[in-house]
Amino acid sequence: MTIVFERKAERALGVPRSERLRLDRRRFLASSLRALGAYVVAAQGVTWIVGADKAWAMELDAFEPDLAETLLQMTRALYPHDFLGDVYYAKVVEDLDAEASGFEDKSRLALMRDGMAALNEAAGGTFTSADDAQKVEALRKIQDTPFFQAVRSKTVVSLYNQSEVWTEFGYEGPVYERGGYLFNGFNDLNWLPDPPADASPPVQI
Amino acid sequence: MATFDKNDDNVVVIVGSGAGGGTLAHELCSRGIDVVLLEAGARQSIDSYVQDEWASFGQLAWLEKRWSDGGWRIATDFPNLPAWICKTVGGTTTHWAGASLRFQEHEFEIRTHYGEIEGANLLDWPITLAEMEPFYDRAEDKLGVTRTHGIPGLPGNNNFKVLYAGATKIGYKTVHTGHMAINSAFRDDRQMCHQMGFCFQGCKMGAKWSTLYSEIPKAEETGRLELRTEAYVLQILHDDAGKVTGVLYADKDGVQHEQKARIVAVAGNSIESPRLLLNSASAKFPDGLANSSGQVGRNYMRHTTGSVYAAMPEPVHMYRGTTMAGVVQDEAHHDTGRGFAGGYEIETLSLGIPFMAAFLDPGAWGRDFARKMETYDHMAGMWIVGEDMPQETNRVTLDPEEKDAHGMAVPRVAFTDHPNDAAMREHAYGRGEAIYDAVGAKAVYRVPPYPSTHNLGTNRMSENARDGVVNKWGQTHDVPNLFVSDGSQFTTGGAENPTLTIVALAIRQAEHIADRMSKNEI
Repeated sequence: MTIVFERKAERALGVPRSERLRLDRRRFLASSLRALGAYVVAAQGVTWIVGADKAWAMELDAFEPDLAETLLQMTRALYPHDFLGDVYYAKVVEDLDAEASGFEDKSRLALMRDGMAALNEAAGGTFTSADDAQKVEALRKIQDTPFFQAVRSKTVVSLYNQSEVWTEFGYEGPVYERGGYLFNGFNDLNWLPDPPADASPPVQI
Repeated sequence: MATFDKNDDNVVVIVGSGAGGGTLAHELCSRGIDVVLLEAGARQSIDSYVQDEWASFGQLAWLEKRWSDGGWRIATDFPNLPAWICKTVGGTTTHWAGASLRFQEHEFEIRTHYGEIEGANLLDWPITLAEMEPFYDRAEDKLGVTRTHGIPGLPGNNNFKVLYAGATKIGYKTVHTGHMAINSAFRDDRQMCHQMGFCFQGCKMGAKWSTLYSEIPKAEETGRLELRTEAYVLQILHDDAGKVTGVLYADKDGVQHEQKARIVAVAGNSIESPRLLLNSASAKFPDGLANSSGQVGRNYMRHTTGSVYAAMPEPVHMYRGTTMAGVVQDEAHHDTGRGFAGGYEIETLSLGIPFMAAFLDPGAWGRDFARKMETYDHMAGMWIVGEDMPQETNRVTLDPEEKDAHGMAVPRVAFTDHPNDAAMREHAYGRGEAIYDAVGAKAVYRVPPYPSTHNLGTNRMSENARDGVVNKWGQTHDVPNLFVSDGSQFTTGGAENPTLTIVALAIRQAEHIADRMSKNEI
């Protein structure tokens, strides 16, 4: 994840080097990464997604602010997890942006722009100003379009492939450095009786 | 490691280094036979494996262009990923979960036992369980299968505890931590299982058997193996007499080479092996090599599969420990009273968050899907592995137009469930749900089949040349010095995970080839 606290971001956005950024990462996670209310700004011709508390910012290469804002809200509507802060959905938008700018021609960017227009139309005006139910309804109307499929298939990979997201779901992920779950609870379930030894023999140590 | 001249026409060339090819290479080398082993993928190691689902997928999976066709949901959800198998040294033995079950006696003779089933292309194997038993025994010893040869079973993880409690509560009797090619204690220079999970991503302990660090290094030690990695075989070449003379392959830079051979053994798994035979068509063999029966690529089987995940009332953390941590075998028998022929195994399974999102309900979105995902740490999970019906129209063909980077026709994989497959899956879903409901599941999720991991049958074994592609030794009916050494030989699929049978067949085939070579018969 590109969490920018760099001078570049400070210069472009006037993001102060807040006290919070000097805290250790774990407290940063707890205090900032669950936050909603991220917003999109353009500074010196560059689009940024900025955390509500200005603790993080992501620079985009291709998307205009309205497209970034639409996709930020669309990705959350696709896979709505209330305990996930906007930073994780912003990461998906960053990946969509990187993908669009990676195309040699502008075809991917055009797909996104045209898709946004269709989504706004499906929402009867502006998708970003629709309420949750209206957003779902608008998405349902366009769910067979290449635009929808492109965003959905990227989101389902990009959103759930973030290690901080895994933690939020109770998935611990890689365990090699900790010596395996053999020493970290592989059989700690205690709300059911243990199987007999012939079905589940003891660890051979 | 040995090196052999490309004009050395005394070597055996093996295409593919997985369960079949890697085992065959070791078995031949240890009998004094020189082998050139061509592997399309690169060589990884237990150090380079990554415990990260998508990153590992990029490292190990076969991602060359393929198309899914037919009535299966895979054609819609994963049009370019019909199968989840590997392109790497060790092939899909890097990715397999380790379940090592023998076929049942009747599963070698289902035409006899099941009779005629409309739409199914049933055939008895030309070999019996009795003939296979000594080779199963040697395969189990080679792989270090738990609960055989005095090897203790693995300890059950949390996911197994849920399966065991539920399955025994509804009356199942044969429920245990399985016959696994995963070390429960140090054996054969391999560590014991440390319950890492990530069995699908390459075992970083080396506790799970893989040809990558078992058969291939042992073969290299004999001084008779040359392994060429990133060698992508395009064609099998033959002479006017109809005997194969070698193979044409592209190296990692795309430069093409010809390697001469006394014998060629194809072990590229059930999509690539028929693809290679079909792509080797010539004036003499216009329908593809070894295809006088027209059966090359047909009878594609992928086991009747599906998963049931359940949101349990308390946390499970199913991802901790071996992925396939236990089995229920009570439904594996043949009993048409259940409304279908054949049987199925029930085996625990788990996915991490990234793959759960991809496979729980492909294409789904919205609040309901999100809520299911949010039960992740309470989930228990199982996989159904059942015998599917061979059908002629389920097949691997070459795309008439599209070519890959080497100019080789892209394969198309067509599959549609037989009604017997659908009936079995429905039954198995129901039993899976009953297991979890018996221990208080809050919700159960029927998950559709993943891209195929058990790919079988596309060069099937037959007594008569008209019915299949290879004989009881895996030797093609049409070309005496051309063998098939992978799961594409399977006449029918059985209910069991196929690797143990592939290995047993490779051991048996190696003995046969060595014997015939020593008598100068091949």
